[in-house]
Amino acid sequence: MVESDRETCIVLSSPPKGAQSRKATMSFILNLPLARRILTVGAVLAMALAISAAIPEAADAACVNTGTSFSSATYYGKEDSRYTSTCDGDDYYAGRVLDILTDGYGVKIEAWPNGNYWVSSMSTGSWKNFQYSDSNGNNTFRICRTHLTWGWMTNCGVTGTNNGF
Amino acid sequence: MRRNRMKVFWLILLCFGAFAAGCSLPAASGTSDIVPPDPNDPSTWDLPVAAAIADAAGYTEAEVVEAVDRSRFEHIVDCMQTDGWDYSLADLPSFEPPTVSSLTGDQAEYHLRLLDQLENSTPDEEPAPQRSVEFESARLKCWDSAERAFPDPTTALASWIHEETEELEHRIAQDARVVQAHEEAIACLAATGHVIPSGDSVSDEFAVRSAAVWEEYMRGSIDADATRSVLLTIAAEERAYNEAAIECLAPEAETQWLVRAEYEMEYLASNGDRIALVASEYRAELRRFRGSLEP
Repeated sequence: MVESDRETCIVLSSPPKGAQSRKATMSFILNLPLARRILTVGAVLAMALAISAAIPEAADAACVNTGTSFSSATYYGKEDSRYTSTCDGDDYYAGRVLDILTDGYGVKIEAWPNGNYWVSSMSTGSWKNFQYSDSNGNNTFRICRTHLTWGWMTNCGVTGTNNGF
Repeated sequence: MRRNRMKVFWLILLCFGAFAAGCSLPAASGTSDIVPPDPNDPSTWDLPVAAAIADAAGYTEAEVVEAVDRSRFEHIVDCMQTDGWDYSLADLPSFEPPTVSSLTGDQAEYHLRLLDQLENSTPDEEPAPQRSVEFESARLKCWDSAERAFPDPTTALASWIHEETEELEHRIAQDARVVQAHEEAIACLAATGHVIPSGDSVSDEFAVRSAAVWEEYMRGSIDADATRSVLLTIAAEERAYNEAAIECLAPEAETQWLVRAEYEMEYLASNGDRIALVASEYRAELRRFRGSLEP
């Protein structure tokens, strides 16, 4: 998942693909005077660094088997396991959710532990802790945005799976 | 909001034109014509930046998320069935953004439902085949395969929006109108005997208390009747809190929305070209979901 996210992010911000366009880009750079060539390559590298800094750790899983924890994010909220020991296979998940934007909406987590629908309390600007348990340490979940007072979800992120907690 | 969206769209076009002509960009038009979202009209729920990206990309975030989920879920079902498991879309979450829940998520009610399930289940019930190690291993393999086949295009966009508007968010959170609305919400709740927890990381008291009594029940320290009685008490307190919170948070929600809309309109006035560029790149990423997205 990490690899595919990186791929998506780079594709979103890089020049057109293909050997022909790469060749054209190289030829364009090589034809520039030296100082401009250095500046151009420097600018491209700086852009690549800025892009890679913006890449989240991973998208769709809080625990991937025991021992490995990832955070998940949408543009309005993010989720993380609360302790490094959370992905320990004891069927108990301790997480936290954060509402990123001051926009009249809060953020919740929806999950289906043991197939039961469960929803966390709403974060409104601070990390909000939550926990749930189930009998086999796996479920699906998603980050959702909800208005501060309406009660229903206005948007949800892509569904992910959580395993080994 | 459809009106607002169209305004945002024309504003972006105007900015693009101004940018191309090398002219100075227009100033923000102010907030007098910005209206808060209508609970009954989903087209009014997005703020200007998200609305501008959706307009330029041709799809809302909700449409894209549903297309990704649908593509992945169909892939997972095929994969599981190929491996010989009895598995269908009914085993995966619904595509619909569902359900109404309270601000605190009905923590006590959730545990009451679990209690009913456990009390009504047959003792010594064999675990369903879906719970076996082999099933879980197949399920994870198929999820991984689906995520690789259909990478989530909203992830990179979310990172970009987050980076792009971080400074804006900082200014909005410190805006005097937002700060005052929050103080008024706290005072309003305090007058009803409730407190909004503050701090970097906070726990929900209803979740903590419900989980604690549930753990006692699972350990066998208390019986089902006592557990139900405690959970019903917590559920009543949770409902009372939620009723008070809805009343007290409504003005704060509206203020936050209006102030953010104002700042985002300002941002769009000088960054329409950047939005148009990222939206076109995002749209290109949606090609692989064309089968699941309406034209």
